[in-house]
Amino acid sequence: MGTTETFCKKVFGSDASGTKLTISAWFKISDSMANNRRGERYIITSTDAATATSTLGYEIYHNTNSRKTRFYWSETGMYFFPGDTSVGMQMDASGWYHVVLKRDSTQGTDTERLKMYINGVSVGQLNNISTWPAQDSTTQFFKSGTNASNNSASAGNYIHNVNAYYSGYSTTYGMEGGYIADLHVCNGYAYDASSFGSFDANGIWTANSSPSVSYGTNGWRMKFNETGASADANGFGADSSGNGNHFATDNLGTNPSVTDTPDNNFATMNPNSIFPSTVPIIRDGNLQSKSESTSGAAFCSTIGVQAGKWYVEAKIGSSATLEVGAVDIGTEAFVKSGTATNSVGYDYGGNIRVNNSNVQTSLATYTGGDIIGICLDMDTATGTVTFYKNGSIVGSAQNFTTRKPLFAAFYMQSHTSGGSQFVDWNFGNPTFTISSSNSDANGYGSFEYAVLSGHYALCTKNLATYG
Amino acid sequence: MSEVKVNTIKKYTGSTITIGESGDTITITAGATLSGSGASLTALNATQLGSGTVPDARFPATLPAVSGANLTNLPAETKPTISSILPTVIENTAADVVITGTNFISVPYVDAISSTGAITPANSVTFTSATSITANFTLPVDGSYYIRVENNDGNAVRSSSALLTVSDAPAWTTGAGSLGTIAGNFSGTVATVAATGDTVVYSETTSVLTNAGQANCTLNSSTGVITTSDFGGSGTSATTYSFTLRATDAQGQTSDRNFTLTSVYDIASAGRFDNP
Repeated sequence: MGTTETFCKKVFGSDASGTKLTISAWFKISDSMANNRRGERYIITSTDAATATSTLGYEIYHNTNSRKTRFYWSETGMYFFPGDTSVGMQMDASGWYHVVLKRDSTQGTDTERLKMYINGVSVGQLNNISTWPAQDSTTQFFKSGTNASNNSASAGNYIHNVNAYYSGYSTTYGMEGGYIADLHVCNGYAYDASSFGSFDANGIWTANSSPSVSYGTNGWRMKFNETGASADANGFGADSSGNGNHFATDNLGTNPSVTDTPDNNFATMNPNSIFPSTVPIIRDGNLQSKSESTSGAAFCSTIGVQAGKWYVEAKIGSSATLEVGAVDIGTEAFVKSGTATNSVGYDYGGNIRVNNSNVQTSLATYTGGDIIGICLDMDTATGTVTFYKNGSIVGSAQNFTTRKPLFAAFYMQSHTSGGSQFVDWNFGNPTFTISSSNSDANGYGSFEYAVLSGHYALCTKNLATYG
Repeated sequence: MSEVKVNTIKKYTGSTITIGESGDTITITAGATLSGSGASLTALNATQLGSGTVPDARFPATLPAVSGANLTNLPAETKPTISSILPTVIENTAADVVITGTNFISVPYVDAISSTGAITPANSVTFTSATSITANFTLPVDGSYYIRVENNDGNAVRSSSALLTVSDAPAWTTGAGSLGTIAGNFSGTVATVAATGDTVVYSETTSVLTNAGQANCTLNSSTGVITTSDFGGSGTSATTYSFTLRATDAQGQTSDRNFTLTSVYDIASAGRFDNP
């Protein structure tokens, strides 16, 4: 927390709060396991700061032996945690989670007044709840306000935020670069998870993108398919429920509307698989990997592959003494020793390296702003990596030499003497502006340079076919 | 008149002997025999046979053709006729067939005669008029049948062709209801429907499945395969398409069945909450 983040904001002109509320959304959380990232993440909030706050968020907590993430619901005077149940814990930043919070304070039995579902499964009788909502109590959502500015939080001025929480007279941000998809906030209606998804033939919880739900007067739905900052139908915070409850957006990043969705999950960098584990930072939707010390650090992608041909672009940060490439993550070797065990990389000095040793030298060097294309071919006998600098091939295709990787992932490794280094990764949803948009042969991804023939963006739709 | 008795009259000259003159009567005395070869009677005019009987032996084995118009005073005989039937195709279960024709007399016998010669009488016959009767048949064997109508005076007619076809209507083997849930914008084979019958042809009676503004599919009339290049067309939200398909066999028999297809759409976008 503490860094500026994209967030949406709105006040309603009239009070429509009531006893019932449903929030449904898909989340791809970020930055969950780094030791210095503990705390609460405020995702969907309503607060007047002075007297009342209600939040759907998640909490990262850990001690030496246990680091966990869990969604929660809070209202003034109570917290509602899923607890340490198998469905209550979310540790994986590589996947999407569906969360439904159902509130119905008309229920006579207090335990029926709040329900939370994670990927379609009710977390059931929860622990860590301080008290249940009083019967027929009203939610703090959907109440009216007059000013959505973050310095206006005061009694009676209810500000609704997505990915933020107005704490007093300042903004506390949300997910530190996470993702939200298909957000439904229903005013006056209490729905189960089954209204928003179903289990497929393989037992996988899948989204229903056209649920038959009502939104009430102050409810809204966000598809995040627009990119504007204004509170209108062209805005990032546009309401597609038909209510016209559009949210304004502050701190918009580049290309904030992405095709990384629950139905086609793209690779990102993995905050749970970094070396060393205590220093590096992953941000901007887990697409910027950054080393903030002189000790060096290594990061790898959330998805590793055993077969297929894959393409990714790495835009080098302004200070570049690092290397990028592909590494075997089939064992714990990466998180214990970085890329030394079984990797093929290309470093800033113009060297192609195998297991951290130069094997092709005096090639093109690169620096901040250059875009390195990495083509990973796992259909060869050993696994092969080919590098491109700004669209031009560098050296020649290089085999893995230790063995064919069990799972090959993309990586960045900063050199020990390099200080703060970073790469903005483009697995198909760039965080940086590109001058052209090239998709793979299946139409997935948006890349600066043409995707090498036969290669594909690293996403689950393609994995299902080629991986 | 003098009487001349001779035993032989021979020509005096040439090759012709003339007896009498025009207007004369030449009499051969009763009991006398006029003998000799008939082949020589070359100019004998039968109209001059004013009386008497021509013996049967004098007729040839095959009589010469005689115009029916010249056969007068024959006994009166009115036969029924068949011009058409409706329907022309029935199933094996009991079914009414209306026979249109002429000269029907209440109440005729009606038979269905198969191409093998098997005769199946009608279950019942209802006389409507001299030009219309209704026969109820139960014909358990598929095939083509002639229709025979016999009036109760014995006059009868059999249709000149096999007017009646007995055939099973198409039977759907694909169950009614949902044919599946298909991703919106999907391209490829959506489903296949099937019915048994004689050269079944598939069609849609509604305008949903093959409507470009709705499900936007193509139905192969021969195979029942449903394909699309863009399921749901321009639709963007989940929709259940309800439609009726018809199976028609070679005899024109039809069978309808109601189906549904449902479109689903992926979540196409998400919001990335960067740290700009």
